[in-house]
Amino acid sequence: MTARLEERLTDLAAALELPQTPDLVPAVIARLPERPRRPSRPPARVLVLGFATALVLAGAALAVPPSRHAILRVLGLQGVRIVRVHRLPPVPRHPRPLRLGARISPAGARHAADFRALEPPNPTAVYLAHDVPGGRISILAGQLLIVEFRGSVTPYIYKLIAGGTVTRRLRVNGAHGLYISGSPHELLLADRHGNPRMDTVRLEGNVLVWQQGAVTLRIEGARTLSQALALAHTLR
Amino acid sequence: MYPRVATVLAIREAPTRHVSSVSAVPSEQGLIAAAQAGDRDAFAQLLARHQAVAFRAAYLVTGSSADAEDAVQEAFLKSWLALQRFRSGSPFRPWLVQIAINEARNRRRASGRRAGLELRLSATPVTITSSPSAEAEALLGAERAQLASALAGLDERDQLVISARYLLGLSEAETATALKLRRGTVKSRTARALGRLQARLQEEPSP
Repeated sequence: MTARLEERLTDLAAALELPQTPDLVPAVIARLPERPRRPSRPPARVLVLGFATALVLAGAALAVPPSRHAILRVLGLQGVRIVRVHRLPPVPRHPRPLRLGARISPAGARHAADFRALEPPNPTAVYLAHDVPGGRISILAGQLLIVEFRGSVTPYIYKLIAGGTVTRRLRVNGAHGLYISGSPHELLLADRHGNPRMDTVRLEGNVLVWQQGAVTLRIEGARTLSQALALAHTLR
Repeated sequence: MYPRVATVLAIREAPTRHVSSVSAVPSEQGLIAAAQAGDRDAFAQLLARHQAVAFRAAYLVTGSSADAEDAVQEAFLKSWLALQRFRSGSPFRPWLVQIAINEARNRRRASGRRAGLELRLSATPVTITSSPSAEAEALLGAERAQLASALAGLDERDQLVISARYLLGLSEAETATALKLRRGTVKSRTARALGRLQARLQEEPSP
């Protein structure tokens, strides 16, 4: 009797309608820190204090007009705030997964958001999200992730960097850019009013970020600056 | 004779054992060692080999494609962070499935949904005999629906062990790792779960 039931279960498995497995690997690889790390497990109270401290520091840096303007003027980047802190707050044990939005056709990506998106020659996959005014386009190009959104004075991204993380100013496609490398830094997304959302914090590896026209772009997942720049140069 | 799921899955999945004569196919243990040393390409290859079974496991638990995607992404990230603690020589697939199932269960609990398999049957008939009549095909479909309904009515522990063994095609040893059980417990729990499933089928009217 059991053998017959086992056969029926095996047959059921073949008859089940399961959704096609999406290729999640490139998006995950683009988010990995440089090397496997043991997750730090601070007590919840320490975690909250760490965040609060970092955000107070970030807030203080942004609240002082000369400092804020200096950041904008030097970097020429809109929609991005970069704040150096003494020590990075611990990352939550259960960070939110990367939400790229709805997958869209690469053919329609250029005009899917409220700005003209730039695309590499052969994108692996393109996604559209509406969590930022004007929309956000994310493009997977192999194992690299390109994120584009309309730059504005209201920040959409906060980057917290500490010792061990190196920032380098450079020109990308003729525009101001910044390459953040070395030790992983932290990225927080902002709400529509420009306030950092603590629930979005995550660790990030090397990133190239620049402003091209009205669009702010960043490339995640490149091992080297030249790899990131090579991809940036292909964007049309 | 019905085809065994394990056989089907073994064909669909990329090979996980090292074939020394085919140098282009890296061994799983080699990929694990490289990934533990920080090689992201090696880790990507490992994930690519096993993402289908991880996604199926997460989908069976959550019943939602979006939740399963989120759960699997998070499981992949956690597996990277925990890779240093992975025991050398152990199989990677059930370890990854274990993390995916845990994430999926967390998501299902967070969304307030009750435990229960989401089993949808394909509208396309799966032909397992040489030339089934329309009547036999209809009867088979009804039997499958009855079985899916009875399975969905079992408690979560029973559902998980049956799903792992028969719907995901994991071996007894892999199921033990995936569900964090002793191998003997998998054996006894499977037997008891099958018994309860049989009892539920007998309670329900035959199609």
